[in-house]
Amino acid sequence: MKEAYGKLVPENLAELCDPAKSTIVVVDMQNDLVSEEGFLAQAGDDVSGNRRIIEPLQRLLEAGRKAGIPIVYVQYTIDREWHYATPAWVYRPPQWINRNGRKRVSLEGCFEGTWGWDVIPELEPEEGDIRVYKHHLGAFWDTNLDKILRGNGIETVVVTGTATKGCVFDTALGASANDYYTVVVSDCVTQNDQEGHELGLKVLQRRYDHPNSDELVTLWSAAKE
Amino acid sequence: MREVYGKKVYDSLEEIADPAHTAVIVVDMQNDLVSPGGFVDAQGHALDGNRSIIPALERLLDGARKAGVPVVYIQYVMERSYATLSPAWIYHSTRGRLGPGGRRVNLEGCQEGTWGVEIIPELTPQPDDFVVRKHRLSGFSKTPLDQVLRANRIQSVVVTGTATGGCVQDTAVDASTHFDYYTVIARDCVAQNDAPGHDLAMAFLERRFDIADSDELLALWAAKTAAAA
Repeated sequence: MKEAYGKLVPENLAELCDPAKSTIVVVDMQNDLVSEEGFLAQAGDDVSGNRRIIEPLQRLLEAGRKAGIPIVYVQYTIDREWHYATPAWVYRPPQWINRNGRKRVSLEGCFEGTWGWDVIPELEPEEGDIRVYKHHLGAFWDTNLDKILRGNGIETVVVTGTATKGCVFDTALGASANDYYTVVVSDCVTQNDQEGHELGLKVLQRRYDHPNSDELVTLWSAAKE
Repeated sequence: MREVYGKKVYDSLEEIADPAHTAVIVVDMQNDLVSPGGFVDAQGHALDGNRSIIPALERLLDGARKAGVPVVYIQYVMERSYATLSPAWIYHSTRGRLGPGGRRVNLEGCQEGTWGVEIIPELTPQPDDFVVRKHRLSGFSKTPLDQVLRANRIQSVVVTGTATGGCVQDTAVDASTHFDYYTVIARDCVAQNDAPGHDLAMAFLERRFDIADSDELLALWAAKTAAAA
């Protein structure tokens, strides 16, 4: 750590991602968004983009759990009466709606309590993991995530999941706006739309540390010994 | 206006940016970031990007005031005691860029009580405008901005100012997918001194927000004002 402006600040990735003070946040890896039988795939979207991070994310979560790092699963949640949907949330600029095609998963998928709303079986939450339900893009907005992290002495948020340009992006912004050190795992964030993914990742990488999962796995395995 | 999912949703720029429920947000147009002799200038960086939007922004604010559209200035402020400076804010502001030439305007500029923290003279706030002080990127981050907008029945915000890929972007994201305002970026009224950074940010913003030229907004507001007269 080094001192700057009277505060102690991490100097390297090991200090930044200290397992004693870090959490892994897994954004929206839900059946309706990621599974072949889920809403997006059934609506005709190619979900291979979302599925490609499953394997590195499994390894990251395993190493995280072994190092005692709390895992937070974030689930996008909507109710069938759309009480959570505000006019500005229902509204989308034309270019956003067109890209998403006919039906919008944020309004017609991920209904609370359904299979589609569940986290995918490949990343099944374990006992002791934390679940946060959100109704917007960012995981910090109108949720208890900040309270949970503060209450557990967390200083660093390691962001993973989908979609890079949407919920992942806004979760990273929310983390840093709430004064958490924010790290984006480059090979554990994704988006079905490759162009959107690359654009989102480029913007995120300009602002945040962006290690690959292997770097963090190595770091956390070493810290354990 | 259409009704979907049980909500009445605006459908066009004309409805979204209606002067009856729209505010203009001017982000960080402060001397230390924009004026010759300010912090960024003194660090040897070109100001062309930030200064390029001043004429269009002057016209936009003039039109807004005439149409009764509230103007809200966001002002980044650093106390001399660094009281609001958190370790994470220091870290994210300096990541990989510490050392000689690495002085950051958000840590050492825009100090309260100085000329540098003031809004640039070309855009001096008028008596009915509102100024929000902030300490992070977004104008909404732990500030009364949402309260002020709600209190005035604002449903839509037009985001202007600097920097496109920083405080403008984060204010727009907060406005739309956090605080539920219809969010419009005024294309020729947002800037960043770093041109590639501006272009990348615009590509991102274009994917998520409505983008309008200041002339479009001005025409819309003038038409509404004329119709009401």
